[in-house]
Amino acid sequence: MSAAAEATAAPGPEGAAGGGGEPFWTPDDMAALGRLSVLARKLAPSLWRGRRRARRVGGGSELVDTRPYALGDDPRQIAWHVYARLEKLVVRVRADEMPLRVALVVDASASMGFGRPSKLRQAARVAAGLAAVALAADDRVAAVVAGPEAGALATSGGRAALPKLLAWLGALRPEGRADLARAAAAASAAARGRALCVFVSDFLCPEGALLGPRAARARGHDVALVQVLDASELDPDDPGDVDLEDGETGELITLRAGAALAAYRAALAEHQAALEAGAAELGAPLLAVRADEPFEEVVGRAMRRGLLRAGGAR
Amino acid sequence: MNLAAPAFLAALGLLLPVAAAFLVKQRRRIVRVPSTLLWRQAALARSKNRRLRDLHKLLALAACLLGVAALALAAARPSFGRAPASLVFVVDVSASMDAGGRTSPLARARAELSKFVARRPGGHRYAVVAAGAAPLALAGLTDSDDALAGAVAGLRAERGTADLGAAVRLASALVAGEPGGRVVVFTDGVERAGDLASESTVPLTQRHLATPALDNVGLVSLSLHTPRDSAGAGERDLRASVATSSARERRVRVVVSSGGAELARRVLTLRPQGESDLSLRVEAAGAELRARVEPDDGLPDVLAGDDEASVTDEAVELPRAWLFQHPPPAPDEGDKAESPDAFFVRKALEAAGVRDVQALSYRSGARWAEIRPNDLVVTVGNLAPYRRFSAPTLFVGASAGQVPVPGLASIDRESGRTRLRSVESGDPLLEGVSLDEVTVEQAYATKTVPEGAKALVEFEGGAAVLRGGVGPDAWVYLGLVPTKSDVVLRVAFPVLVANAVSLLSGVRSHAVAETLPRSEVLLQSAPLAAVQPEPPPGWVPGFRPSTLLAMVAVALLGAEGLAHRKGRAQA
Repeated sequence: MSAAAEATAAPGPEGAAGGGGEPFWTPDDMAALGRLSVLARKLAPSLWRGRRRARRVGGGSELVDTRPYALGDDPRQIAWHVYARLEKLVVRVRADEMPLRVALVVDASASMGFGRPSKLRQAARVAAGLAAVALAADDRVAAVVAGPEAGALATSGGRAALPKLLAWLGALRPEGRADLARAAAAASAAARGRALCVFVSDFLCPEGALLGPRAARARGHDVALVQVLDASELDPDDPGDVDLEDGETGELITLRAGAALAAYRAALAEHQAALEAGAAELGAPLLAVRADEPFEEVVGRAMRRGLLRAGGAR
Repeated sequence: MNLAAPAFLAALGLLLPVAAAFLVKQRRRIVRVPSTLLWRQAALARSKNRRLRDLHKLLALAACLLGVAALALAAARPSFGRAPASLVFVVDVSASMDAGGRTSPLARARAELSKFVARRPGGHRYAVVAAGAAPLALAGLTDSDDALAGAVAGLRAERGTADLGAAVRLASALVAGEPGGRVVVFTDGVERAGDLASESTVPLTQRHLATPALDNVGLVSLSLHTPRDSAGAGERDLRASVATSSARERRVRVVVSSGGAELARRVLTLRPQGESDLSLRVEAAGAELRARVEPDDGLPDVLAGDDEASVTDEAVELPRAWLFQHPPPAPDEGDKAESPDAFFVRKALEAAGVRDVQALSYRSGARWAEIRPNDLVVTVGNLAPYRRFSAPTLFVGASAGQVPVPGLASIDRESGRTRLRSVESGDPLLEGVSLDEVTVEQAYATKTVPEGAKALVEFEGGAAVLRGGVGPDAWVYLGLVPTKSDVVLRVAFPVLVANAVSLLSGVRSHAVAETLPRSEVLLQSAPLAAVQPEPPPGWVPGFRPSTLLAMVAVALLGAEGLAHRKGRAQA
């Protein structure tokens, strides 16, 4: 067996997201995450109060204007010092503040169990990071697993929700096939409104890599894509004279000797180009992550890709 | 199960390398990868999953093994559940079987037989009989392919007719008592259309090889007669009949020569499938005359054996003939008056060279005493004289009186049917005589052939022409009534009468050449009647076990190949 094949096959689909109880981040990572926020383009109305300033007038803390008092205005908003100076009743106008809804769709199909650490572990770590950033900024987070069944964790907010979310992510097991379109529908229901849907997957779906993101976009959500691939997928060795079995579908193919590696590389390049084009079409940032990539590098590239930004939420 | 070529079972040894090749191919290592999506462009073959692929491989292996085994078994030519059969192939080798060159009935019969012999199931034994003028067993019952192939290759057309009855009798004798005995007759059905099955003691099957519609011209009769009015002793009348099988009018050239010198050349026009007569007076005392027919219209002539005939003059003085007719002429008509039947017979006698023909009837009883043993008596009419004369007698159309044939019955055919069949075509009485296609309205025939007599021609299951006796007691019986048949309009009638005169008197006033019968020249083919229609064992091609096995093998290997190709195409 070649080195690449060994590397690919060794962890197998048993590579759970929990990673044997290891924490997702180091304390340094935690500190870095506290200074970030998720970049949102649009905010949807919400009953929950957040820290992101909306365009509409509301009960936020930030003063944006004043106007003459009208019957029915909240007397608490009357600017008494202006009345004292001008003897006119003027009320303060404040911007509304609401949270960003973030729906995390984590692919936990069998193919995500490959790699060392497994792709699912890296996917869970990225999802946990995004959740931590969002919760720290008083955003609301829902999580959905895309596996044989689309299980969802309902929307929650506040720092207290993070341990529960981390436990949920750590319990993910790679199995079966992922139906991203169904997961998108589940995410839509769990977010309880328009949200930013972040798909964390390897996007190696025979039915179509962007089926789920397109479904989410059609429901009015903003979309972001995080692709997690293993090093053995990005730069494999020549597999030699072997038959390959699909870890997810069980499909068996006999390779054409000699030309297999070149054909694979061409197919990978083509696949990545199509994914990027599809993401651009959806207006979604695409973040490609290696399964063994250090977390701080992932965070740095997420910021460059416009998924995260430094500073608090606005 | 019988195997004709069990040595081919050794090919079953090929199963081992086939199985080994499959097992080696199946031992490829399988590596699991997250997804094969991106590897598909490099795929040589794809299958849905490991279990399905194993099933496909198992099926492919089974198909290949079964295909190879079926091929080996097919080559061994098995026969299942069939008792060994003994078949005798009787092949008509008459002249008409050679018409048509490479597609002649004989060539087709040879090809079919070769194929049949090559596919002979194990345990079956065959024999080949050539049915010519005399039957000849070219191969006795044997299971040797070489002997049978040699016999089939030795089938050659003769320049005459075939005695199929004798051949069938010989064939049935060859398989008498053998298990599964059967006679299979290959014939164009030209010269005989009778009940061959009655000749065989074993089941008989006929393979009718229809003669193709071809252009042929040929001599159907050639004879020399001494004319009554000859000026010199060497003058002879040469009479020839030429017939054609063509569906269009033909023009032919008849060239008569003697000793290489051409004596005469005539052009005759023949109606479609008709014939034409030629009469020439030639100087031919003791000479051999040769007549040759050639197309004069540029159309083909497919049969060469009927184009030439030769005859040697052997004529001598014939005896006096007494022509007894009944009913006698009316008193007011005079002694020389004669019935139409008597007229035709007298003309035939004169044509045969009889110079002195005396009329007799019940009215001229006084002259009966003049009849001498060297004379010839000819009776015409349904009532023959009440006593036999001490002289050879020819009976024409008689049914009562002193007729030597018992049990005569009148057979009337208003529609003019033709059911005449020469059962002894080689008899001197029928030399140069073809009674096929003769239209008969009324004739007398008997089912009882008297002792010492010989039935020569059958009509509707009874004998219509017979002969018997010796010396002054010799007789010939013609059951045909001259005016109730068109035989008197044919050359056959004077030749038949001349033959009878020669036979009864012991001298010949005429010489007749050996020619092919009219039906052979006309290539008139008719299926045999009353033969058992069921085919012999293993006769139907395409359903023999070996063929079936070969087809199964090809189907299995083909299906495997197609599935393999489809898998690669999908990949």
